[in-house]
Amino acid sequence: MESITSLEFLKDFTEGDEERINKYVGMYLSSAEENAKEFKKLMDEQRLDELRSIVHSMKPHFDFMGMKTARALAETIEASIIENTSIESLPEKVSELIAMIEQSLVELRH
Amino acid sequence: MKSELKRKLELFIVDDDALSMSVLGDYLKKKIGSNLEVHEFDTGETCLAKIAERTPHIVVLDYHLDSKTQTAANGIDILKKIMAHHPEVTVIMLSGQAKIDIAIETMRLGARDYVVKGETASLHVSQIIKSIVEAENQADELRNYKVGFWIAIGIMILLTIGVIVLYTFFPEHTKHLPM
Repeated sequence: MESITSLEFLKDFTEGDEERINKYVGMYLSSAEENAKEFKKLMDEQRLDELRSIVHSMKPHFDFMGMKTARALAETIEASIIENTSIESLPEKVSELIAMIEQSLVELRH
Repeated sequence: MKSELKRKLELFIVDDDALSMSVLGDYLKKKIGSNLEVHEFDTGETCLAKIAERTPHIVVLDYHLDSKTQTAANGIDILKKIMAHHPEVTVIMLSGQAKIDIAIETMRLGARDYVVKGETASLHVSQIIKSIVEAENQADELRNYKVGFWIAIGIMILLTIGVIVLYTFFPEHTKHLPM
């Protein structure tokens, strides 16, 4: 499976400071799993405004972890909720984003 | 370096996302220097409570602050309160949305700048802070020059008075001096 994460940005940003990179990856790991569960719950309960808020707050995380596809998908989900368009495809998109987060957890834990 | 801090600068960061706040705070401490004191707040309300007892120079304020606490006030409301009670504080707004109308609204309410969150946000915020530091350093230098100028003028006036007194009241002591 193709890797969806890249630490190139963090390496560049921290000028190769391993301690800071590990700190940020650790913070991502400790929040991402919980957020993915929250995505599913909020989607199931149709609490779209709260879903939008959490998806929005995760966009910088995707930037830091080099997850460009996840960032783009998060933007699509956010725009879809704000503009109330393509709501029928939202569960599928949210599932796709959750799958990406789960894959990122596997990649970043190794 | 001109943008080096010559005195302590206190900076508050308000963001409901711990990772973003940590990334920005660490970056600023590294780039601006040890005279920058950073305090982090995950809601605007906790930041306002702190401002009431200790006013910072700069607040970096996120626009959306409700991802963890749904009832938390948003960045615009916090900006309005800061500007109403502490207009001397420089506020830099952060947002995940590159929307010109939001940017204009925040600037109209008194924010100095509007930075879109993303890979280059930390760099932009640090550049803004450096420009603030440079302006403050220049203002300090100008103040020092003015003080120095008036001290020099004062010394010259005192010397002139001294010479006049000497020539007027003690002419016998000035015979050997040039006129």
